[in-house]
Amino acid sequence: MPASAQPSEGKRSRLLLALGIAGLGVFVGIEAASISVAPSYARIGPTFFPWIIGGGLFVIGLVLAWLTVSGTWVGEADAKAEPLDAQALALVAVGLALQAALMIPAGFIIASTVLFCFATRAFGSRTIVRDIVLALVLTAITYGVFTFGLGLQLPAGLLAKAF
Amino acid sequence: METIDALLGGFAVALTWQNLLWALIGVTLGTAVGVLPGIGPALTVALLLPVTAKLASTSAFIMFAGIYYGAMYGGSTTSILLNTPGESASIITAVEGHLMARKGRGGSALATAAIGSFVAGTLATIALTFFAPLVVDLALQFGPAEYFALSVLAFITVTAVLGSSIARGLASLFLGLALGMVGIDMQTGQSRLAFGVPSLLDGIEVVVVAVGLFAVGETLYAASRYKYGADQIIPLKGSLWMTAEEWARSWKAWLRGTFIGFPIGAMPAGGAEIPTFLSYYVEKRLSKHPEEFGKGAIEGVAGPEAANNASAAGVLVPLLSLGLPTSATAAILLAAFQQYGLQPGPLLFQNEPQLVWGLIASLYIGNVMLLVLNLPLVGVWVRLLTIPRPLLYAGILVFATLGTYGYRQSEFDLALLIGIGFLGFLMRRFDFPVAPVIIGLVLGPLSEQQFRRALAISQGDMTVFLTHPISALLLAVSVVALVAPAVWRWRKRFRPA
Repeated sequence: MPASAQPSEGKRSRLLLALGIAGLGVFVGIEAASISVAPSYARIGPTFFPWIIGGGLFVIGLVLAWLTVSGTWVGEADAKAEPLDAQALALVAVGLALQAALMIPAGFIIASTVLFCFATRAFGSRTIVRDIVLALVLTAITYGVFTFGLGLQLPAGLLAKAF
Repeated sequence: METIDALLGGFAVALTWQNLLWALIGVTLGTAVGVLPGIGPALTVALLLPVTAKLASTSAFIMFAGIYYGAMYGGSTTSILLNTPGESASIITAVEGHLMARKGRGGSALATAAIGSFVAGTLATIALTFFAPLVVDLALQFGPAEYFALSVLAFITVTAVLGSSIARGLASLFLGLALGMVGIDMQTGQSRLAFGVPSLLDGIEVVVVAVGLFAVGETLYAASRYKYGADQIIPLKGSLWMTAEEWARSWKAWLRGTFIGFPIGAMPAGGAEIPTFLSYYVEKRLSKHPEEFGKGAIEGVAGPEAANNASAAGVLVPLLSLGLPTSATAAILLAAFQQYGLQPGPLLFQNEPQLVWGLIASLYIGNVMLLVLNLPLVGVWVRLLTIPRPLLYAGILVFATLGTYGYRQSEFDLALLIGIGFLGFLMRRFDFPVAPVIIGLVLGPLSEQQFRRALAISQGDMTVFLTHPISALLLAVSVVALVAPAVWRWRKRFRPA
């Protein structure tokens, strides 16, 4: 497929990504400049590697942008031209965020059950009751193994009294 | 025979019943997790890191050794029956082995993969046993300049040689290097790239990055494409007992695969992809049945699978004797060593002989256990492949977050995991290799430390890297490795058709 056939969405997002990498390089460079350095370390101090890395990211980002514009970088993502299933992505993301937020207040078992059910839903599961039961069993066993078997304390949260 | 004595000492450690038990748990967990589709050895080790948090170091590493080898065996089962390689080194197995499975010869494919892995794993472990001490002797002569040059070589080969695009490989590498800079600078106590966030001062954990990129990123990618259809599992058919003809066609391929895999894996450039592709090519050239290749030729499974396992053992040579990780899995193992306050390298052999040789001895034992686990019991693992996808990915996410949270008990790490997961999703979608990120993250700070040490010794004279002959040689090889593929492509493109 010739890259010039259509200025496809894939091309635009690749360009965006490339510029993002270059931007990250600038950002690392600015951060490197803000590190205060004692004079005795001035030559090769803690800022040297960050400078190199920031510069590297900047140059690589520009190269990738150039490769995109010139049509050399034709992503495989173009070949599988299907649009993203944004709804499924969002379900997984929300599940992960909820779990992180609930981990301490509600505890590992409840937080992870929420994540589990959002994830199964993202992959098209409709059997919500079965998923909840499965998740509770799985996370409860995991909690038991980690807390009592491996001595790794996971947050008990709302179910603290049960254990 | 110092090495033999040391190895016997290692067996004395590994053969205590507790350590045998840890090895058995390791190979079983490694196989079980490795079988799950889309999960390669790197993620398996990362996910299981918190499990060992409370173990004594020797037992922990015996278990890691089991997990490492187990994940390699488990991955081949998935590749053959499901055609979803968990890592790039099993791509070849996935191609040829899956074709065999489709023709009803899945049993033979699994058998030649498992026995080949055992033969190659054992021979390569023997090679590791005798070769590693030699590298240690060499490494004792190395100063900071040489170590820095060595790390540059590893960076370059991992990114430039293995990936499909140098630019994207370098982008991944530099991303990993940038992540590795986050936190407090060890030499000056300065905080870098931490933005005043207290949780970032301790640095970004490798486990979070590995689990985020491999597990969360992969799950997000799978979710974004799930409605376009899933893979088909081929039910296990055909006898696990190979016929005389299959044995005859397999054994040479196993040996050749071993001889290709170990040396390439053991080089500081490392990696398992090149030896598997090379082995496939060699088998195709030497086979009496070249017409079967691409239609399910048993040599095409036996050779690459042996090469894969031999290089897995080979990768341990630079890891243990130089402290140099040349694969994503090795980088995570290195992080595991650091978790115990240990720094792999020549001094580890002197200071912790029990641990090093116990680990090497347990590789022999683990291989035997794995042959038993994977041939007679392969049916058990095949069952894991039938887990419905929604439950499988939901389970992977729960264990990914558990592995992350269990490591440091930090909610911040969970938030970071989500961010890195989306990064992994983008990298997957736009074909950026993931391994260079992990290697940059782990090896970057070590590389910087050696760089600054070398300059401290030379009083700021940059030419120190070029006046030391070994360092100059390593840097020269790095430049060639970086430039040669580009020149090669250039010439190809401009050659008249």
